[in-house]
Amino acid sequence: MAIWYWKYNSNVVATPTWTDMSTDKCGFFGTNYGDTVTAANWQSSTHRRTATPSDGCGSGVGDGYHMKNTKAVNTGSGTSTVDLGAGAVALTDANVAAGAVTMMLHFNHTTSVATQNGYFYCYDGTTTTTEAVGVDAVAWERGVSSAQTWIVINDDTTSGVLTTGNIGGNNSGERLSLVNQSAALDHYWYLCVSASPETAGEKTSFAFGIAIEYY
Amino acid sequence: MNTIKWIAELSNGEIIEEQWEDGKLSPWLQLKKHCEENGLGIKRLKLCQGDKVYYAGEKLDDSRFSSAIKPVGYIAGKKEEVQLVPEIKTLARYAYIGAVYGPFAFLIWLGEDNEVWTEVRTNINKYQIIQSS
Repeated sequence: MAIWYWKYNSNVVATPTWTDMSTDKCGFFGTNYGDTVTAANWQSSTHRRTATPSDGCGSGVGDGYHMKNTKAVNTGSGTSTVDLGAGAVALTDANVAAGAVTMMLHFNHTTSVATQNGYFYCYDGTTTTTEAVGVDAVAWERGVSSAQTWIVINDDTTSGVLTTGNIGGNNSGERLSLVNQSAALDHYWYLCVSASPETAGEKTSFAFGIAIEYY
Repeated sequence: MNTIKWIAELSNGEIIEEQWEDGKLSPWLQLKKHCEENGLGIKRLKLCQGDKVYYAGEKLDDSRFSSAIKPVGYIAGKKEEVQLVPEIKTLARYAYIGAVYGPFAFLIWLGEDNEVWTEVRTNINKYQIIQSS
């Protein structure tokens, strides 16, 4: 039987504690929880958002820490860069520790399986092949040495920081490929995600999904 | 909803049915290991759902098809679609079997909601292939 978890690091980067998000959401904000992100700008903070809604992240030592923020800087040609809070750095394993990523996907199976053709994608929350509405989003998987580039997983319209449009959903060329993993009971993928509103206003037709094969 | 499972007939006449056992290798990887360790291959592979049966790369028993290409191997697997928000949950589950013909494989997919479709796959994972007999 397969069980999925998505988790965030509720501790310091160097010594991650992976906390299950359970039924909470991942929220992208301005400087702090509740602050808006100006249209055509990437988020400045990422939070676990409860159903209330409120900030479900902890606030410090003994109470856990906030979700780690991985703000896209350069997503175009040239070296992809990310701001982890101390300025732009190249998007590499050396610069982005496992404990610094936005989320960890955990796939557990009671039988030892190998995985392949895994994808992480962004969609409208209803139809898995339809892009999220009014959102630009990029993603990157840590631990894949050949991949040091942000992958555009959502670009709804030509407005915003990404201007191609009509990108998103579980479609070829519009999703992040997850690395194949050999037989094991537990599989982990470490992902950085950055998001930007194309226009003003809260974006709610915005969800993440996973598709994966195992054998 | 009917459980989907594959059944393989091996070159020595053994019939192996997909069976998941906690803590062990997946049934497909167990079958691959068994075949490799004993010099066996798959003679026939089928996917069953209730009373429906689908064969991978089956050569029809008819002289008109005597020159049909025989698969060099077979693959089988499962797929899950999972949403992360508003709560993590599995949206859909599928299973497939496939016959490998060199650089491509012809797959038959079944969904738990009884949908059936085919796929021609070119990016075949060599570690998944079990040789045909």
